[in-house]
Amino acid sequence: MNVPLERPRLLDRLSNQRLILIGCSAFLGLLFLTALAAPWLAPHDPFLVNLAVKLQEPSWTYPLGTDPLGRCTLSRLLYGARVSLGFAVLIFASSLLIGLLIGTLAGYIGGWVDQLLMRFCDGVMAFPSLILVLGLVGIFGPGLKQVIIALMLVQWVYYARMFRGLVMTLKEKNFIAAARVNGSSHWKIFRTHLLPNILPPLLVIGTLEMGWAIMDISAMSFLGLGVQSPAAEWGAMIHEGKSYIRTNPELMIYPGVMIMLVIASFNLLGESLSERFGVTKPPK
Amino acid sequence: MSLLQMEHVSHRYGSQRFLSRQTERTVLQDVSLTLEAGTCLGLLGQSGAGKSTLGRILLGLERPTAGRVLFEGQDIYRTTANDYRQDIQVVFQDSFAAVNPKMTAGQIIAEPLTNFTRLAPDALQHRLVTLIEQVGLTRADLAKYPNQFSGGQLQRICIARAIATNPKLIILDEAVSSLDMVNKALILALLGELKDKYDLSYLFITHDLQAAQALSDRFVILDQGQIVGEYPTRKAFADATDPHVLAIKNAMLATHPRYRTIRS
Ligand SMILES: Nc1ncnc2c1ncn2[C@@H]1O[C@H](COP(=O)(O)OP(=O)(O)OP(=O)(O)O)[C@@H](O)[C@H]1O
Ligand SMILES: [Mg+2]
Repeated sequence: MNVPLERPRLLDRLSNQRLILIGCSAFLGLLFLTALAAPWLAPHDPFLVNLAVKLQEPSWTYPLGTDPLGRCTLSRLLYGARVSLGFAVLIFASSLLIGLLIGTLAGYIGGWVDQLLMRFCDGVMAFPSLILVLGLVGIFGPGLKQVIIALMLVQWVYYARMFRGLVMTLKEKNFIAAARVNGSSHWKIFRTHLLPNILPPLLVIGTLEMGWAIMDISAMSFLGLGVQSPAAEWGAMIHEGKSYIRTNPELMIYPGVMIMLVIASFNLLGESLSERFGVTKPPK
Repeated sequence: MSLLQMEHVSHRYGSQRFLSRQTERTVLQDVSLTLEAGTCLGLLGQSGAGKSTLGRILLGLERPTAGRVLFEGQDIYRTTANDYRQDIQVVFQDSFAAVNPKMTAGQIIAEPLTNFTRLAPDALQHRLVTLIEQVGLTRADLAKYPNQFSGGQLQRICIARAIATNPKLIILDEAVSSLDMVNKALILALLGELKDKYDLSYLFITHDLQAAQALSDRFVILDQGQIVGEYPTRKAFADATDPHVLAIKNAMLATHPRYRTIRS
């Protein structure tokens, strides 16, 4: 019987992995740089309303044309990257820190501290993020701050649960016991023994979660709950463009494509990192 | 005064659950034993007897639910001074789980030194080289990571870490049990050598009869959390006819390949 050779396919896959890793990090790195440099790169003021040039075709002055208020689409896209990426990083970093703190405490101390913290997490988990956002928006009115707080409040629970599990398995290892015997403080054990061993999964989850955070911010803004006009943000731009879907679909397509590319890059990057580090992603 | 005394120590593991009843399990019951300086006490018992728990209690890692642990006359669970930690060290069975995979051998051995001593960087380096050569490895091994060593080599690194701060007592929790015959003999020889050289005391926890006999002067048998036999000399232990000792002896024999072929 003929057994198909597995080897070339495996090699192909490996080099593809590497390509994805490099390609996605390069794209995202470039995007972060453009977002940072938006004030210098943008050809126009993204908020400058000029009805004389509304809904222009792409031209040398307006590379991607203009919107119904005559604002430069390219400039708005560039500034939008700042909002989307910036707040994704903010949500990610803050929820990660809270989750890391609470999860590590619960896993390391164990006992009733663990039980208490985990019951609290269960309580928070019972609220889907959309409901939480709607609640906050209902109380404080629509706005980016409410969305960010709501997303943060929901996100950290996932991190907390993940880190708790990781720390609990690490704690059973005798090198933690040996470190205690060797006179290391709890803080030193956290820094030198726990953190380096939870860094690879942290990187993987972080990358995957960044994609989701961008998605969430854009979705909330699209629904009109998050970023308010005239601020430039990709989801909000789609929202603004939707009345012109028949005549000027590109108003929705440009930000839509950006969102898609960014999320796809983060996801592909996360996947290839997880393969590289042999980390299994926890179910979301 | 004995180096180490355990007085009526009992221990229960309870799984504390928030808002739910506790399930408890008694692992040690009224255990008393003493260990004299410069001697090796063999602690034997079958799996689950509570040997490792006893070791963890002596290391200050698990506060016993009752009883006292005196090290040089001081109750280690009642003193605020942590200096007993420097004097009681440990070598575990699974050397791969006993070292942080992200640290080099040098960093692993340096951990107790940086915590307990104030050595200048070059003095520390010098001490690390002395230590690693003492356990039969080379200076170049200091830069290697755990996955670059064999189990036997890694166990040597654990031993180097244990002797780094000149402790008085080392708890050997199945320290040679997962090694092959040759490595077992080599590590036992190394432990014997170090014991004489530094006047160390050992608590040798094992279910391996031959290993226990190679090193220990006295023997204690633990069964289901209780001490069921004490033998003050090697001869007394070798001649023991107590069913607990026989059970351990038989368990050992049963794993011996020649014994198995004879029986079948
Ligand atoms: N952290 C813990 N929580 C709850 N129960 C535990 C814990 N550690 C050990 N036990 C239980 O205590 C009993 C004694 O365990 P211990 O590890 O002390 O046995 P042992 O004599 O060292 O066995 P072995 O020879 O297999 O290493 C076992 O029944 C075990 O299930
Ligand atoms: Mg054990």
